[in-house]
Amino acid sequence: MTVESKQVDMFEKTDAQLTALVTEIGSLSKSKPDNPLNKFKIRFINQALAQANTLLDDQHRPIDGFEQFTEELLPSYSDVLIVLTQYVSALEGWRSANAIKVGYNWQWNIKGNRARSTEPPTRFRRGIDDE
Amino acid sequence: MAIIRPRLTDYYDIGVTQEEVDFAIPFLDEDIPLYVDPFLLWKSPSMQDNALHTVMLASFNQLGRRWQSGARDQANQILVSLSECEEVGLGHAKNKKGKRIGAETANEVLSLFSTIPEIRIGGLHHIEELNLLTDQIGRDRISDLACNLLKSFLIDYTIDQANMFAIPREEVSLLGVFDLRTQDLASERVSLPTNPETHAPILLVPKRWLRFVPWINRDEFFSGAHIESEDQSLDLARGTVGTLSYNRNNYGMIRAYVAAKERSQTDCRNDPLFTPIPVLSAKRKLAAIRKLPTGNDNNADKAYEDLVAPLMASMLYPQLDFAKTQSRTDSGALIRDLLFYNGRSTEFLRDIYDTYASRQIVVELKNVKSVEREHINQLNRYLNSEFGRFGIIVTRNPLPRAMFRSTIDLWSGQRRCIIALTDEDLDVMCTVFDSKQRLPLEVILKAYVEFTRSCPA
Repeated sequence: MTVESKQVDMFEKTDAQLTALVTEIGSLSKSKPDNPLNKFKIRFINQALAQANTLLDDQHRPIDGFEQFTEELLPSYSDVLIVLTQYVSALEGWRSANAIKVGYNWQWNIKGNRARSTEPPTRFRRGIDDE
Repeated sequence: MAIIRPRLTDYYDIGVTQEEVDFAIPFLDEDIPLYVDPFLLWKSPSMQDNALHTVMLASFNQLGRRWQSGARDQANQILVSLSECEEVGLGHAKNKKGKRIGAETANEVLSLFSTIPEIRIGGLHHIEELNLLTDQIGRDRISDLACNLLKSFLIDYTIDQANMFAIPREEVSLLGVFDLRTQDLASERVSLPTNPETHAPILLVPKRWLRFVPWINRDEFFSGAHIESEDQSLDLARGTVGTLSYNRNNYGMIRAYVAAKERSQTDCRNDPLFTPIPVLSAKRKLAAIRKLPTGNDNNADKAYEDLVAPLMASMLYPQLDFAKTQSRTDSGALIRDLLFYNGRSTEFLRDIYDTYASRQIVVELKNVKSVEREHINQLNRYLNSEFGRFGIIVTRNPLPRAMFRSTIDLWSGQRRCIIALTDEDLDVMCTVFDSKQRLPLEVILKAYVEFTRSCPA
């Protein structure tokens, strides 16, 4: 399985956004878990989720049938936090599935063998690591 | 017209809320319980309002001078005519009909221009001083005098606002329009909004001029402005003819009081037509609701209604203007409803207006553990063509599955929408009322979205 270089760019951007959101929403969720988020925050989170959804295929999607939050349904901080952590974990799964070992280093498995290094995978990769 | 407590804009189906317009929206059957306070014109930063105050005062003082010069009958007649302004519909009359003052009272007012030397020479500085000098001139008379003296401006203002909001007008003959040039009353043929049932002309009044109690008022003067130890007889005289004679003989005290009120003008603000309860009070009411048992033991149902009504009215303001709390009986059961005008101020409210013809939103309060079919039928019977086909049941717990199914069936069969709000929803409404991150109205939208998602495609 190979990925395109622009997908790696999008991963790096989205992963950073979602990780930061988990930290922010996590701290807000501690004090006000049941408070609904305002529309601005939901729109921003939905943008990040939409980017993640373009990367994640059905195999890596964390929640079946879920695409984005509905503004009208007033999602709370704790609801949003659960979904965001699932997405961060799913993105890590996707990264692990697309990393290959070249010598002693790990690189993205990019079409055309363009070298871009990445961290070692943190997940068991079915079909790759069990070979 | 069957909608409850109809306002001019509701009759003509004009989707605006009180918050959005510059004028106080008049009711068709009753008066707006506020009064024009001329002091608000005096202290206004607007030169137009200041000028109107000057003109009003000059006109009234001119009337006094006319009385002094001997044209007493004429001045008296004009003052009697100026003492009631039905077109503006302000005050507490339930039938929009007020009474003028008598000739005797008019004489008493005008005689101030001869009995009090300062007024004889310099005239009044504020028309509200009449309130401190005569017994028959209260806040309603002050307001009516001001409106009549400014009627010509109010006609232009009304035409302007009516055009802005497409309020229909018709040609009417308006009596008692004060003409500045002749300093006399005249009748004018003008095009104004009218009461659709009585065809009586309606004049709109800017919200910024309205207060419950005038800034310069008799009660405050007696409670705080005079020195009790100086003259015990004043207390005995309060509210009687003695009051007047005391004040007339001690006009300097009134001037000092008025000067003090002028100095504290920054505290003088117009009163809104509806004042929502503060967040802290809303939270207390929610906590009380949470503790309240279901059922009607110890009048718990009445207590529930008394708590929910101000809570909902405040949290949904200004997107929904509260119309009335109404009691009715249905099959022997007493039912309490809250009614809101649907001013179509948000996309959701426009949607339910378009889909369910919802002109007034009916909210039924049920302090029961579990809503039963009869409760839904009660509300359903109320959703007629005048109110529209959208209603809300505020109750303690979520609808049982069978009852929810029954609301879906009502939608499927008759396109009527009944949604339920529970204690949990009130809690979220209170939370967002406090945090200001979302509108409490959006909790109703959420319940509506969940309802529509359950409806058959």
